[in-house]
Amino acid sequence: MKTLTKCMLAALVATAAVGCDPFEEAVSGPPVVITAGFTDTANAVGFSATASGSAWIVSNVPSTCGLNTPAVPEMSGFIFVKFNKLLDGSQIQTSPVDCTPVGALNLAVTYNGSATPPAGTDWYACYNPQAPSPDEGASVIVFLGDALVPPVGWIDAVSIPTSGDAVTTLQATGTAHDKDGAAVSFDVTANLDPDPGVPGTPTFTGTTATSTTVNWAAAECAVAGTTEYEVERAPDVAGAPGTFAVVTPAPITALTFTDNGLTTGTTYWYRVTASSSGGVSGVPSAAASVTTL
Amino acid sequence: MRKKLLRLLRLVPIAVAFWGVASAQTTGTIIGVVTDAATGKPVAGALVVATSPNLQGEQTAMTDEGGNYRLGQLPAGQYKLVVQLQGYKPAERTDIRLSVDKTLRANITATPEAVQLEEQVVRTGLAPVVNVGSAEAGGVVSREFMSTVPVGRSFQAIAQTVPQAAGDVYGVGFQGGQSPENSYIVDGLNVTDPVYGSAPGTWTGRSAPTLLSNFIEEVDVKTGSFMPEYGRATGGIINVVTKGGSNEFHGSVFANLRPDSLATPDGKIVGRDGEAIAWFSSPGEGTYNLDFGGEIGGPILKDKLWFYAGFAPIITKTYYNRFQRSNVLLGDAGYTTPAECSNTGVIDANRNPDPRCRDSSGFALYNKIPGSDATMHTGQTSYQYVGKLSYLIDSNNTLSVATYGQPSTQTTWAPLYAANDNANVDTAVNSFDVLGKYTGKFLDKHLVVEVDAGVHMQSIEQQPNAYQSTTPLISWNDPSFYYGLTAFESAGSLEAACNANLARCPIRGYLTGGNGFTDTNDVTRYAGRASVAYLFSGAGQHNAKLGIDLERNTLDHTKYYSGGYQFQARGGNFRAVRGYGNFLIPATPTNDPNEIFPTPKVATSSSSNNFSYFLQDSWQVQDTGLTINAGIRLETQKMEETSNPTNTLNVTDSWAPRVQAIWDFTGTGRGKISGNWGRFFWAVPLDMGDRTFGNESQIQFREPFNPCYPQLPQTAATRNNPGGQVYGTFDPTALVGPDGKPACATLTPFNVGFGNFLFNPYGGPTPVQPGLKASSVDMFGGDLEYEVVSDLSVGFVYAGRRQVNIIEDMSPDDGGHFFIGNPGSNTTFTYGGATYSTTDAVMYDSVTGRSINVKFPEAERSYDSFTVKLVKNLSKNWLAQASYTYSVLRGNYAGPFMSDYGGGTGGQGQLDPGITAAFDLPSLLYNTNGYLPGDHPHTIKLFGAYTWNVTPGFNVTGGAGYTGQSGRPNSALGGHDLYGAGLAYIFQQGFAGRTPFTHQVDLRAALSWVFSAPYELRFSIDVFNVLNQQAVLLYDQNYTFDGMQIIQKAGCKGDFVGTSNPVAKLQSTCPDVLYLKTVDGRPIGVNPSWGKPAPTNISYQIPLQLRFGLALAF
Repeated sequence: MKTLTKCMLAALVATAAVGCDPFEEAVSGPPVVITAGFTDTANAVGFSATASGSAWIVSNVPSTCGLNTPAVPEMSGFIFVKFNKLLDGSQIQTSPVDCTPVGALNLAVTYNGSATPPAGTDWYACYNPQAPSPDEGASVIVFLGDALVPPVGWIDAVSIPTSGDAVTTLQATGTAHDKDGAAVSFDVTANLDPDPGVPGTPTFTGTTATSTTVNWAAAECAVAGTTEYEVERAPDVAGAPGTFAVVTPAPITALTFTDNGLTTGTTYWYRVTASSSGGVSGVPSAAASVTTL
Repeated sequence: MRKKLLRLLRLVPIAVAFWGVASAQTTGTIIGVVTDAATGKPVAGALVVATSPNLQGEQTAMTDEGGNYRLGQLPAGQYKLVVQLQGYKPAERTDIRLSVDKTLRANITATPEAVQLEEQVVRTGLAPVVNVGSAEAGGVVSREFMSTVPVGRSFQAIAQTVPQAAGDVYGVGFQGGQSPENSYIVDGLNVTDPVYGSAPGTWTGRSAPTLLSNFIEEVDVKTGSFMPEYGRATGGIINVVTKGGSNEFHGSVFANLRPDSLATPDGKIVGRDGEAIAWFSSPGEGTYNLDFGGEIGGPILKDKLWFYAGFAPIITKTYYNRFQRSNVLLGDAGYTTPAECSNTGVIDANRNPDPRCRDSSGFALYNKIPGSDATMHTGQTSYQYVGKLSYLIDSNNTLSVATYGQPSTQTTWAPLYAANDNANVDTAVNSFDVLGKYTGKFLDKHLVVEVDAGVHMQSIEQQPNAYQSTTPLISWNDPSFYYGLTAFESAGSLEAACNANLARCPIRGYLTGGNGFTDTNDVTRYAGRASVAYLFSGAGQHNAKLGIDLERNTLDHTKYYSGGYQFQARGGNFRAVRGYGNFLIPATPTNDPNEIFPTPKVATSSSSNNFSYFLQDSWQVQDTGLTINAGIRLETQKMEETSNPTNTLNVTDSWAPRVQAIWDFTGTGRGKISGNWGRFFWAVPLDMGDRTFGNESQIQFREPFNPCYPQLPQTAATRNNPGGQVYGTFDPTALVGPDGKPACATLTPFNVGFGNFLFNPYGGPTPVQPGLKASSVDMFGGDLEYEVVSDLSVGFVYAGRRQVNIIEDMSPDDGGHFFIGNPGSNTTFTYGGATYSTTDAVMYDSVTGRSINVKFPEAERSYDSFTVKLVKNLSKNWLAQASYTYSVLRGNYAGPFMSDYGGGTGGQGQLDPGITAAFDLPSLLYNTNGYLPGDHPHTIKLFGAYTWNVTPGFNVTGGAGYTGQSGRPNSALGGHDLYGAGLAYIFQQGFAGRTPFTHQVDLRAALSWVFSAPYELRFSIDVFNVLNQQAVLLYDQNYTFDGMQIIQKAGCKGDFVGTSNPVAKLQSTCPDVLYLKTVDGRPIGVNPSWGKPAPTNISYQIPLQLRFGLALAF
């Protein structure tokens, strides 16, 4: 029977060993911002921010001209801030169902330095505890919504107006708390690049044996006298343009450009790109060809 | 005469106490030592003769210099041994019950003629209890057990009585494994379903009965740690030996009736809580389960040629009552305040406060709609037959042929289908087996040769009617809102009861149209085994065995979706969620149906060659009480599909070493300590070759409701408007043009805002990772067993298992491409221009718009258990078996089927061995590591029976059984836009609480009356579930049907499911779930039925059932 007793003891030890819960885990420590960025929902593209001190800056987010009618430069998207752990959602989003105006929360959003949102809209924030990656815990999402019809989520975001020439700055600041009350402040700036739109397809006047004048309609969201254009020329390769090269010595604000020094009886292709005064380029126009006399 | 013999022979009390290593799958072995009673020394040259009613002729053996003898290849049964030697008195013992694939030690002490001994009482009837020769886990279920203890009629039910066995939807699983990981062997032939790996006949939703216990001699259940001659299993081995002939004619006619229509109460009402369609099993309408038949065995030539034959039709019919109901709402008479209404204000799937009133248990209150009862039924008719011929060529050579078969027809029913004839579909399910076996002994019986060859065939043919086969199936299942039942049904007083109020009669998942997936298949397995065993001495006794085990499995499969596609009405579209075809996708998709090239029917022909080779030795170390069993098995598998022979699963390096050590620490056979370790490989069933190596290409597309089908209201506000559109009248054939292409001129983009417009998730053959390793498990354990009093042993057993590798299909880009590999195995390869990695994957974060690099985790499934057991074998008219097991099953891989995919709403998990959705999508692989569905921490099994000999010809037997088991773990599951419901673990798997502990008490009473020898009349009554417990077995685990991502490290854990308001309890304990969003940023819709009994026919324990048995035997 001594054997039996020993075995019973061994059994108890074994039972205790297998009974331990192997799944207890927690993320300790204060919350930390692990990444931030801007998501362009119209194009399903994300732009990551880089940390600059305690702030996060995301640059070169290209706005879009022609997203809506009438065509204005605008941006359909939102700022997101990702944390390493779950947060206290009620600190960010008072209603668990709907996204909440940021004014009611400890968040602030400035739009080109102004705390006033564009007319008829409001800045909203959502808490999202979901994380697709194991090293990311939760996110705060800030977007522009319709002030009259509060959104149920960031799918209902309205477009953020931007400029055809100047960079539009969007800054979201706030403080997030984790479940233990530990706080982390965040500061995300998104620089939305101007999108003057696409210039009209070039047409040609005054073509001689060695020169031609290229003309184009202003880009859809251009700012007259400020938006700059560059003209590119390419040789003809079997009826299609070869490699384009810039022929304007410097960006011009006019809608016409005369190109000299061409070869007689040769076909050339031209296209035009609009850019902001700050040098942010848009999408080139369609190419068109002309043959010298 | 008998008394004299007893006086002459003194048997070692624990003589029959040695169970050795398997020497064959269908026979057993008796070994022992003959010693001189006067000197205690071994006696050489003694002749040991074995006879049995189950043995043709007799088998003899001569003792060697050490007094050892060995009698091999003995059919299971009762044996008599006689020892004859000049100068000694003849010695005999008759109490040996030999079981299949076991080795008994029967040591015999022979008394010299010269010695005079006092008469002494010889302990007879000592059934072997302690298994001192093997560390194999499991047990043998004998005919005595089957005929005295209340158990089901199939060997599946019988196998569940063994410790560490637990039932699952496809059968019985062992030590945390799932039933499709077992090998099912009948008379040495592998009859495991070659397509899905489950028990024969238990295909998805097409369960056919397994062999009736009347035809079974014994069931040997190996729950783990079996020797190398067994393989292709990471679960257990169920080794069934059928009855055979004998020198006398024996037989019976029998009938067993379960007249549920008379005895069984109505089942619990099943249906999604608060929805308008519900049903319950309604046995009173005529449910019954009947088998009747006969069997006979006997000699054709005495001691030379024996036969056995049996035949039994099996007929089952199960009736259900389906009815409509309307909810009681806040504001109804008597429910005017939230308090009266018990309204908790849960937000429903439409993001509106739920106006439904609830009872004290949290279930929605409803009124049954008068006149809505409809009686539906399922049924099955099978004709089971067995036949066996055994021929003894001479005393050293035997030949036998056996056959089994079972043609069946089945009728199935889908409750959420329109209540008309289209809800019933017939299926023909057939199986046929034939097996030949030769055994020969050479070199003075030191060399034993066994050769088996057999064929297993099975087929399935669904037989939909013309409408069912040509009309698309539509599931009206928009995750974001309910439909009103009046949109589908209008009979009787439904319109008045629902009163144009959606909350009165909501319904989701309603089905209209044809049969959906329809198929026909033919399956064949050619199996051959040969082995050579050699017996020799060397520091003890050795039994070395070398063998080959070859199988070729083939599957011819024709499949189609009725009307071409299966649609889901969802989000303003008819989404073709299933259908065969290909896309011609231009650089810029134009949403033109002409880009679709339909495949009306897919025909595949796949095969798998599974070859194995093994070498093993059982060494009884001289004079130590120690036995060492060791061996190794090599398994290879090559699976392919004829249309694409270059892309195959080809594994050739599955080396499976196994070792056991058993020490009889008492030296008298009264106890043992043993330990074992082994690696076990699993052969992937043919479903993988059929679905992924062939030309099966599934496509998905979406046809907008409007303008294509303008009769359907198109706004969310009107789609679900009761009293408006009657979707039940919508003609699904309008969805598909005569050319099989979508009838709508323009399709809609697939994912609004994100992604592509057409989806081809299974396009083309799926590549296989080079250097693929077979799925394997390490099993290890130890036990201590001690015979406390005579015939009664107590054992303590530890058994552990660790998954080594699994084979699964994975997508390295979250749903674009797929390949088959070992998750987490750090291999990269290219195929068809695409790069695949078994470790690195890329997924798309729909919130941030970024691509994220993630890792495929390694598969984990860990099982640890500790069992205390007590076994009392049949002696002194009673037998008993009791066990308690504490176990933990955890990991991220449940096995070949996914119990939870679908969230329990379908009733059965996805059975796609090796290609389940478990590792498909990197974005859903978090939170999967937790308590697996097969985790039942506490299991208690008690069985016992006693026989009263009232008069010499009249016996009464009473038997009882109890099984108590912890409930299974539950999860909160979310949906996926393409995969549907139940694939995303919102938080850690298995952390949402358990289903209740279940108690099952069964009783049996049997009378046996020999009214005129040898004719015996037997009558029995079984009462199953005497307490009529109808505990919940399955909760609805779909917290949301929306496509969503998961919460990392939410720390949600609690007993949420089964409480009066599981959703509210979860939301208050774990507020993060309140903020869950869909992948495109909207708040998710919550399923208010989460944590409540799932709307399936297996959501509750089967109610009380009676079974009457009558047999005339001779």
